[in-house]
Amino acid sequence: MFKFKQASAVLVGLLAVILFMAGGCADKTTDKSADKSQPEVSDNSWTTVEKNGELVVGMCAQYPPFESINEKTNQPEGFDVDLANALGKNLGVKVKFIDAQWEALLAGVEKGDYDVLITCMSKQEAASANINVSDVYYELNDIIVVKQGNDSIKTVDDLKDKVVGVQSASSCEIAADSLSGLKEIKRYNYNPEAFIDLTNDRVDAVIVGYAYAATQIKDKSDLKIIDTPVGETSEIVMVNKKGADALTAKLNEALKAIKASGEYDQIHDKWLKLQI
Amino acid sequence: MELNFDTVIRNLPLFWQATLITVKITVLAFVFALIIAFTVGVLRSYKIPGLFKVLLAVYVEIFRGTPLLIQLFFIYYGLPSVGIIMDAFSAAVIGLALNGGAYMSESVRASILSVSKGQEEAAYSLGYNKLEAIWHIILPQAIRVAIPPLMNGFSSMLKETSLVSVISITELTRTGNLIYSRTARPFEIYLTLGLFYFVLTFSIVLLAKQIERKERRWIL
Repeated sequence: MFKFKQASAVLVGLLAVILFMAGGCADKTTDKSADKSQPEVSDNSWTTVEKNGELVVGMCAQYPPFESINEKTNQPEGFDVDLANALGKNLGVKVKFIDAQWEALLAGVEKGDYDVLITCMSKQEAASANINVSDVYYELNDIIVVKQGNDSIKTVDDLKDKVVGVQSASSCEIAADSLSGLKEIKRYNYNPEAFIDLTNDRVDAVIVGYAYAATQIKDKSDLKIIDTPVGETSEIVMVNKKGADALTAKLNEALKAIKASGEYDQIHDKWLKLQI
Repeated sequence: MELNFDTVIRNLPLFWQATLITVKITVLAFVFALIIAFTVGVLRSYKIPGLFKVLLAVYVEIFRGTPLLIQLFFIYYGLPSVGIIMDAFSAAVIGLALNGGAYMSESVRASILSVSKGQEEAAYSLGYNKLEAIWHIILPQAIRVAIPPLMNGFSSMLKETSLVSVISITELTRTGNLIYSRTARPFEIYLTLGLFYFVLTFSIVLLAKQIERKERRWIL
């Protein structure tokens, strides 16, 4: 019994530490809100970028054709990369890309590791975080991919009682979670793994972004795309830190400018023209 | 940022479900790992045919010498290329058991080495054959030495289950990430996640203490 007492003492001690930490944080919060009440807490988001002459872009380069690491040059490439470079040129700053884990991106931008996320992130995906979003720069539907010869899945309703694969923390996952009656949702770190399982019959269908499916699956003859949108259309946006309004406004301006100059269309056609 | 544990409380059912899966995988993998560990550990402690010895050494060194993450990827995503297809749960249990078994077999071997040579010789002089000597004389003494490192293996295995999220199993860590990506509350969620793991591993510590106290009655 004596040892049990020791054990519970350790647990109680741990709990006390956690409560103490929570208390400490709560204190900090009040400090911060006091700061906020001061008028016009300087929004130097844009001036900092301008002064550094560099826009730091966070992305998860695992999502071609939007962003991926080129096998030969080891540099990121894709629609988002070219778009970011065009925006940088328009704003007169250099662009630096940082490749990071998808799950870590939102926390990173909140923390200030990146000035902006340009990584095919939808408004819905970003909605949970406390951040700024830019104007929509692309609209993306999620669609279903099944194995060639699978005729039992033709619409979204046919996914009932099926095992569905999605990339974790993506709009597709949100779409899959909103469907009722699925047998199981299998969540993968990245899409290629979901497709391995589709090929091996470990999932019946994969929900994935249209552009990804169209460009990546075109050379996989054993898979086919079912072209009906699943869930809501994703509105793809750039993401800034909360309160970086000046930077968000600047990016929106630059986006408008490159759309007007035709540069946007060029980039779009280069990466996202669908070849089905 | 204000702390808000509502998101955690709302998602508690998800955490429970995931805990169940984590525990299931850990316990199953640990049982298999124990079987592997004792078989391999005992065999490697005695003279066995050369080829057999090399094979066992290769097994232990490969599984100790490569990251578990890569082993899991290989078993689940790699093996289908050569026609071996299994579901995620089996792949997770097999991967963890093979990996844990390799480590724990060394604990078993060490514990056998710790039993003095005289014990074995005494057994022979009393007319025991080799198997009887191992079973009745060596192992009962070795197990007492092996229990702490084996229980250590148990708790590290529990934590290593977080890696099986990469083969699409929604266990504790994946569930935490899932809730985090919906709510963007890293502090609260990862703290809760840590607490879940800690309570689980601490239960193993308590269990180990209990076993160590009672082993004398069971074995002798």
